Amino acid sequence: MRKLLLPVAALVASVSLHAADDLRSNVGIGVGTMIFEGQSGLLSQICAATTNGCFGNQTFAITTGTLGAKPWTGIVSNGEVQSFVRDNMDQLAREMAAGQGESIETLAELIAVPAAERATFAQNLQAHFGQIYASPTVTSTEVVENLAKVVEKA
Amino acid sequence: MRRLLPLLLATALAAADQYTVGEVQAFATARGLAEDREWLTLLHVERAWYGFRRSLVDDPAFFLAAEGRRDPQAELDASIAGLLAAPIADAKHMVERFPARAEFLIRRLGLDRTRLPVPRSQEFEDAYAGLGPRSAALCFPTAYMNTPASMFGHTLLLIRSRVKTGMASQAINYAALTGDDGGVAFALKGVLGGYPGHFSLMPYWQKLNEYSDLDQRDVWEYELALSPEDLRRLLLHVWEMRGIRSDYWFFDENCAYYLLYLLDAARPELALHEQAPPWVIPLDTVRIMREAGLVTGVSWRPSLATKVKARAARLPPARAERARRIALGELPPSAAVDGDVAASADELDLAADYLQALRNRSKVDQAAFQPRFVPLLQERARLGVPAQEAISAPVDVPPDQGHGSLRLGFGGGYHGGLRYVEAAIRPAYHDLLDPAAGYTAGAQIDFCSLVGRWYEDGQTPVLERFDAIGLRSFAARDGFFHQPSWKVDTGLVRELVGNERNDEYHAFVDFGVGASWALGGAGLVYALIDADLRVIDADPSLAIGLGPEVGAILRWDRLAIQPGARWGSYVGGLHEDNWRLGLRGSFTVHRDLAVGFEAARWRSWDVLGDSLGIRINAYF
Repeated sequence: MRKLLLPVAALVASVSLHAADDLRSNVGIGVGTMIFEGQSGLLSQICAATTNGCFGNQTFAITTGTLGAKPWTGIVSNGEVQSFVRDNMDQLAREMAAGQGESIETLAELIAVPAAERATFAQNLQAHFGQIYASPTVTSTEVVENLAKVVEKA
Repeated sequence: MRRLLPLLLATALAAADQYTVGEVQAFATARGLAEDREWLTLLHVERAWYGFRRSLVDDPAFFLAAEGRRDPQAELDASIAGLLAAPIADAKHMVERFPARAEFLIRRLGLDRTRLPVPRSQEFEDAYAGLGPRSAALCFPTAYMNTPASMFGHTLLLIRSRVKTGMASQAINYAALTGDDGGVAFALKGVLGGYPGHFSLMPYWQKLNEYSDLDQRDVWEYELALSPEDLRRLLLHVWEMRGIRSDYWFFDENCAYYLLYLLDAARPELALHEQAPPWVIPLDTVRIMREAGLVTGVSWRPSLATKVKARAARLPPARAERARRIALGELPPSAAVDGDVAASADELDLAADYLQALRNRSKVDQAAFQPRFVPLLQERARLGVPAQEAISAPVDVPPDQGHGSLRLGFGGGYHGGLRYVEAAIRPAYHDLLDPAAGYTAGAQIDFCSLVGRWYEDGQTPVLERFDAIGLRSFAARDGFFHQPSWKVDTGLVRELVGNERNDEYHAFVDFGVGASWALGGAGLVYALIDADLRVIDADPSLAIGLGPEVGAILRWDRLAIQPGARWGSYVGGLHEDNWRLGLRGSFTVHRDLAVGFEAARWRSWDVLGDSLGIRINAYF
């Protein structure tokens, strides 16, 4: 584990969050919000009132995020697509089912769908929603794999 | 000679094969770079205060010179020495650690990059190319309807990147690392600079997930007019702030203040941080940026809760109710689908929004959520893309266009048989009767509100009331959301006690919790159970009063009124049954001018009295 993390830390110039990232690397629907649970009690709200909304549990050291991202070779091995899908499992599901939305646009940008084909791309995802989000317990890695099958077939 | 010296030094520098530290330092000193605004901004040096001047940054790692925090000249000399030093294996070169300072020195001293041991920070250049910055925006998440705390809000900077959708922006966030402290320790340490503040960078979608989905906060985005050169300087400075710690001070050295520094690093002549008031509210930074002419456009993102409310309001009640039951798992998703495809899609979207909101509030657990969510969306996916109405902002005024947060009031009236004139100051932020435009309805956050009065029988003015904190969160209950309504007031109040009508000061903490309900579009009614703790000059020195409070907040255009009644039975150092029946109101003359009024009859501490008052309130 330590060996694996070292080059990552060197790349990202920060040691923060990566353990947490690893834990969240392959998540299901509805999981993304769990890390924030337990923050909504009345007492914590009142405390927050005196300490400003600036406080919160989040990444507190700098990470490069999408800074320094490498060009991709394919959808499945595209780290940006992987992390985007992982972070937005629920919204992607919503917008895929609706056949439009900002997360679909972002996905299209990340995998370089030409602007003229974006509408068809979104409709294609909507038509194949059941294959991409194939089961209630589908994980983000599976969503990316299923997505690759649908997109590459088209 | 003063003018000749830099010229001679510049000529000497230009002729040299290799720069020598002493020469470059002398040149920089001759050009007065140590006192240059851009240099002081990069070091976060505060303007002189009684001759005492130092950087806000507390982390020694931010300075190359031992005295760098207090001595910009020493830091300049050390930075030049670092810039010209040969790279050492396994150690970061100055150019890698402080690329903004390096670029500043190269630019302002006209140094030839090819003659530097490390011409540029390759790590930064790679990251910059990967990000592909296009422009910048300021993000202001507004109040979560049940958290007045969030009215103070937060601001973060967004860098629009090569991926063109807004959610794929890079978010630059300054926040305190609070750890696991809770309760009072959390509050005190936050106010007193007990937590370290750090900059962080993350994809904006992560912040959106947090704000708009979880916290139910709508988000405003203000596009900023920064040139590509400005953007580059901004990111260079963010790069050198990585991992650097500064003590986080709630009132001034907070997220909002540090973002002003970033903008100043982007364009030093803005000097935004010098315009900041002694206490910095995130919303004020938006105003400062607008006044500096930086804001070129405003957009809005609805939170999940806003979407639920908007869709529920526009759907026929039967459809809204069915959507609610689908989200709760009481009906199958197919129940929503009929011949009206657009309405069916809206109904399923409402069910999905609400189901996600329930999940975010832990009202539905993961095991129940997944098998309900996916079939619902499968049903939705069959409906294609019918023409659905977009969701628009419930307030037509962006938050920075609301009234100023500092309120000064002057007025007069009659209280307990005596006439008075009064003056009032409230540094921040918004109370329920202040002009409503731009603020979240039903939410109040007042800080350090002070009222002084001069009564007709008095020799000197008296402190009538001091409210350290005055919070209200009245979120109307509906079929979808059932938050409690609550209030907290704490401070010091002057009371008339007993037959002698003795002046006494009571310190108090007055807490109430209950519920409120919407009255059509006119306002809301609320009912609370209050517990009022008093610290008094008696034996025992504590008294506590319990009792109900009911009231309403009604608005018609410019007029807002709040009728209310309260009863409390006190035990402890004072045994009394107190009650109050009254009406408060406010008439908005202008965004930053209102007339407040009050009429009440009350019985407290065995005194029966009336109050009648009027006050002009101006907002700045």
